[in-house]
Amino acid sequence: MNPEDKQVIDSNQTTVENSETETTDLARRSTMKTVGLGALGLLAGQAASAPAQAQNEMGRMSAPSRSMMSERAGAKMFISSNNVSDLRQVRIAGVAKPFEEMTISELTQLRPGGNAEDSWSVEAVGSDISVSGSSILANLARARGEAAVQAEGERLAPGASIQIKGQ
Amino acid sequence: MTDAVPVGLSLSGEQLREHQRLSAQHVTFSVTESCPLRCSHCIVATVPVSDRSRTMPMDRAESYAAQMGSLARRGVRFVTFTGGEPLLARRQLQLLSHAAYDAGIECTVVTACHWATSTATAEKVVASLPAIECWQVSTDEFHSEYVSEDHVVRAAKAAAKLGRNVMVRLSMSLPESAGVVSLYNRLRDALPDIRIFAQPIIAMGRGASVPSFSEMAEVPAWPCVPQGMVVRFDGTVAPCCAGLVDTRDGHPFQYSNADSAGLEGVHQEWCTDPLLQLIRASGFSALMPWLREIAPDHDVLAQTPRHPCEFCVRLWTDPGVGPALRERISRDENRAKVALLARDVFGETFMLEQLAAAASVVRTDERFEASGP
Repeated sequence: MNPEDKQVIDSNQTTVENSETETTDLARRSTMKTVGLGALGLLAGQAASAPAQAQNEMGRMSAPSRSMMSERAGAKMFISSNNVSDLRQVRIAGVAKPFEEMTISELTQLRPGGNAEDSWSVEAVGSDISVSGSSILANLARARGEAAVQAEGERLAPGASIQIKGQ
Repeated sequence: MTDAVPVGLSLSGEQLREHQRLSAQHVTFSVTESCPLRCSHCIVATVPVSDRSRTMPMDRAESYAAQMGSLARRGVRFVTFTGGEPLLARRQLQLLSHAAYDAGIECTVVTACHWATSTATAEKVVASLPAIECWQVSTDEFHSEYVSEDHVVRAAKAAAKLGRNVMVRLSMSLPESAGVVSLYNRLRDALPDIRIFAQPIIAMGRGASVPSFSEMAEVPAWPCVPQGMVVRFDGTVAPCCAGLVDTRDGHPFQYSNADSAGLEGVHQEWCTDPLLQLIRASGFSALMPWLREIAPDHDVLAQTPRHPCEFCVRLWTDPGVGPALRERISRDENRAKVALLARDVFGETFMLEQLAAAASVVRTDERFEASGP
């Protein structure tokens, strides 16, 4: 194994540890915040931003703390491989957690085929509708939905700046 | 000539997401459960043609036709008519498809083509439904017992001649038989310019009695692809056009009758159902820890079908599972999380808008309490 590979593996394990500790804590806090503040908090994207915030903090970690976390993670699971599909098993750790403890990011990563390189044969799809042209419609739907959220936010909190993830 | 039938759709992750996204923009109407065929693999328990008790009455069709505009305003862009054999309810089809077309909704019909008795008749029937753009003609070894493939070829050619979008749907047991390969090749030769979509028979409905291969896995291999809600002939609503399309009780996806709630109302219920939207956005994996806790001896934990529809149908055979999962996912913090998930995965804000509306009511109440009586 070359040193670069090792770095990748350590980085993945750090992710595992974070997803089970700090990210979860942030998610819990953000959930509490969401419940406490009601929909205005949701509209402002506070809950959605929590995992991203956790990831940013992970990115800023010093090398020693990464190393320490790797050791702790290694006690639970060690996956050594250059194969993307093997490393993807790291994400399956989320399946062991109850829904309440999972972040939006982890729930999204449970989607099979969530990565561009995957190809999934959806055998029994009724195929009532074609995929072609759907991007345009999806964008229309998104625009319509986001406009509605903006309008509702403006109604609830006039003048407030509302950031919608992805914009 | 081929010696293997290409089965299913191969989608990239992003295409799968797009396909799933369309579920909220697609509504199916099962206009009748009468059918001249009695195929052993059908997921719908159909009744003979002489039995009209399970056909949508005209007054109900008129009511739904008048509501197509409101569906379109909610973002519905596709309507499919199925059954039974939907061509047995041609007046209802004409009424509903015209209304949908006028509202800017694209219409599809799925038919087994018993009506295509001659080329002239086939063209006449297709022409009588000008608002239906997509014609999905279905056939397979089971249909062949009741309707010859000549009918299917005539119907496909008639629809193509009249400028419609045509696709042949072929159901098959796995592993594929020599008979179905031969049928595929004959259709390929007869309809060289028309797409043929083959799908395996799933172990559900009458299809559960048809021997076919069911693969097992650690968790279902892809998330739920419900294809949108299905409004049945009697106004009841199914959550999907697959495993639960003909199952009215015993599962947790129970919505109002479209007669009382209106099409817009039931579409809103479908779009804001946290349990459905969770398995659509994340798949069944997210439910597994709860399931292990609620029903540790459930057979789907010991033997987990790879196909999400087979998993889903078997999951609800334990009557305690549905209510327990429903109770958990309906807690405020969990609903909020699914609302964010639906927005992030599909760009849909139905649930967020619902939460926002509920929150505005709460805020109004708080103001009232703060100002005192």
